Amino acid sequence: MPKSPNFIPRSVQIAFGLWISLFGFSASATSSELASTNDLSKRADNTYEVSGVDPFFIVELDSQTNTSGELTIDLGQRISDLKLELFFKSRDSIFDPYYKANYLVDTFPVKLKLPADAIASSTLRIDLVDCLSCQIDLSNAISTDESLTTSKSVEPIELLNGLKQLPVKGQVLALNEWSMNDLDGTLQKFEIAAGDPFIVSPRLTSSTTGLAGVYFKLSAPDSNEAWDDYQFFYQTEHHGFSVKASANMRVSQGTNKQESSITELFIPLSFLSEDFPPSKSLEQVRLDLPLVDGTWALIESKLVHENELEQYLSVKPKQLIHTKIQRATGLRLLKKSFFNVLADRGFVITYLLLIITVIALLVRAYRRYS
Amino acid sequence: MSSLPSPGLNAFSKETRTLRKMPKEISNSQFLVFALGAGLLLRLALMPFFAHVDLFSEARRVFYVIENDYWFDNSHRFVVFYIEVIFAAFSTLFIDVTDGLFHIPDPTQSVASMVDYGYFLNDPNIYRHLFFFKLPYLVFDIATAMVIWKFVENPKHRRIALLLWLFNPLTIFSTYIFGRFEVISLFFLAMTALQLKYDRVFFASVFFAVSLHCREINILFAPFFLLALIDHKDHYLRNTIVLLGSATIIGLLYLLPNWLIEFSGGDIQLFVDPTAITKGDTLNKLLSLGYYWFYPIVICLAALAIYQWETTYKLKAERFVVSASVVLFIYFGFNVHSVHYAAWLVLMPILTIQYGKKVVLPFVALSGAWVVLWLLKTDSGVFTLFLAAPLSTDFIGLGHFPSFYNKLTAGSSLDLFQSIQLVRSLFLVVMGFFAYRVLRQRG
Repeated sequence: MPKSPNFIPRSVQIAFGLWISLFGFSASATSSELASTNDLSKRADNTYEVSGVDPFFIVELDSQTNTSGELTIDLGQRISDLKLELFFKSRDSIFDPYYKANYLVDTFPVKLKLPADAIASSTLRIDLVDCLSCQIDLSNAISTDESLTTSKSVEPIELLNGLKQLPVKGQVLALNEWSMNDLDGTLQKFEIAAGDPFIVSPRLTSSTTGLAGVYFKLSAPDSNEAWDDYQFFYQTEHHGFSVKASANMRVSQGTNKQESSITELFIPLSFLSEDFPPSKSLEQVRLDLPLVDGTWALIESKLVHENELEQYLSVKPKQLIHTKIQRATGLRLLKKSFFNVLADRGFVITYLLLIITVIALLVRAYRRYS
Repeated sequence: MSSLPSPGLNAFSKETRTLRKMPKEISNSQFLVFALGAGLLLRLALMPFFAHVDLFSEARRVFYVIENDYWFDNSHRFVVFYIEVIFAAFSTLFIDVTDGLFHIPDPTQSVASMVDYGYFLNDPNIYRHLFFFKLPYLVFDIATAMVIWKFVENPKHRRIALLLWLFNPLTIFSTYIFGRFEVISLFFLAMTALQLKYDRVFFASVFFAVSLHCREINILFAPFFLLALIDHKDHYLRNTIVLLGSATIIGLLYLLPNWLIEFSGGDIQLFVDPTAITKGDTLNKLLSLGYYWFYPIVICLAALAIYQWETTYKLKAERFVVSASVVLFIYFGFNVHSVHYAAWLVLMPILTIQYGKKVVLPFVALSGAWVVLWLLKTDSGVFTLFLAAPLSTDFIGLGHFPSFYNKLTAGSSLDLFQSIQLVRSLFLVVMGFFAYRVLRQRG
């Protein structure tokens, strides 16, 4: 039987097949893939638009990205001052909020410089921050092709690599990184310029374990009122600044406010670590000031450890309302109520003595009539 | 020697043992001490830990008067107010009120805002504040119990009367959980009845006039109080003098605060919102019968007045307490306003026990109907765990029964509105039952 024409020797065919299969396998193993999206709706033209408040996508990384330490993302269009949040540590598909890098990008396609711990990670989550009307094209989003971009990689503006334990002596907050709203001047000397004056701390990376609260020492001008109203906001991994997570204070002359115009405030936050689920990190604090004309200054601010609590309790405003997102229920609520009652020890002792006296008098009277 | 006891000794020992096992009858005095003690302990246990925002609003008004020396304003409930002022002034020996906690930024606004109430709830001394502010209520509550004890003579009946007063849920809730002053008004009404029982018309008139300065509702009793003074066996001239004398005493004492205001330098409008509906408008609305309950109440009260006129052979005090009870049954049969107003229903029926009226079962029915009605009819801050907010503000917003009931009956024809109407009708039935028991002749 005549052999069919064979222009390619079998050995070459086998070698080619092996190369193809190896290349194919290699290619599939090394290409980065879009694994899933959240709050991003796919449109008819295969682009995505933000459809919820928490838009993010998760990508499986290839080995080349892991080697280069850079991640290129083509979003299909330029979005000015885009903020991205990259989570790089996960377990059982849940990303740890204490391992993240924040980027502010203005070059496209985006090339992110990955933190060292992220390079070893096989899965990354990328959140679009403050981008509720964005439309993006993710069809070629993740690429290892270096020719796609010649732009410089962007360093994270902020990196959280796990939480820092609060030192037992507390943590003094540096005064040079605070931001101000409706205030004129510097933190060391400012005046109220408009109707919503507040100061915001720098980003914090403190664990709430051992956190007793936040302390402020201000130089405040004298007001004509009997007291001044302050409001305190705090941000955790669960929420941003919100009225639902705030504290109102009514600071009266003579208690928190001393004669030398120094106002000291201690706002307890120990409940953060006791919540279910607990708030593990205190990320930022904000203090809204009363509308009092004159010269203000923030002299000191500090995260207070529970070991130092005794010395700060005297400047806890007597009139303080905590508005909390979480409310205790069931046994926890009963326990909390019990300890609330115990807080006024003078009353508790007198109250118990009164009840014991009433019982003793009743027993005596009952016996006398028998 | 035999160690066995003789049969006679054995029998004696048995008898002694039997006697020891017999329950010992406790004396009236022991019963009074025991019941008052248990009632007092129950009240002490509740006093510092529960309150409605109305109690705080009242405390703010009282401290405002103390701070500003506005002693003669035109506020009504003048007697209750000054009793509270005296106790509040005493309480300042033990509590600090100088930090603005009770400050009223705008004296035309009578009710505290939730923000101000929030500061109060979070005050570390809130428990002593609540304890001291409810102290006058406790004093008048226990004093009322003593008046009831004195009013009812039959040893068995007075025990029932005392227990009904001390342990009925309406008074306890209204006074120590909701935190309102109804017992002060009830004390003066009880004193009125006691004076009538001993035929002391002058003192009865004085106490009745004082009660008019405690709660406006007491004005409903005025015609029945005057009718109770009439005795057909007496000469008409004597009846006229007694009636005119009593009406004059009541009238003068009722108008006294207005004169004090004049003497103190004018009409100070405290805690009155100038933008609120004026008294004239309210009266016009009332006279134009804008209130759906006005007709039936007027008709029933007129019928009751005729009944009282026809039963003047009965004792004065009996006629007063019976008619005052029925006045309230009529009022609450057609009109339910606030949860704590039901406390008004308690005193007078208890006093009718002196005249052989059987009111225990109606009381049980009333308590049950009241609880069910207000479970259904409440808003989020009235018959709910909101009242436990002094213990922890986390009690606020824990939900209330109507929302649970709505979920339960979703799609059913017996929705919340229908259920309220049904229980409201049952409440009217209970009032009728009560009226029957109170009006029924003895024997």
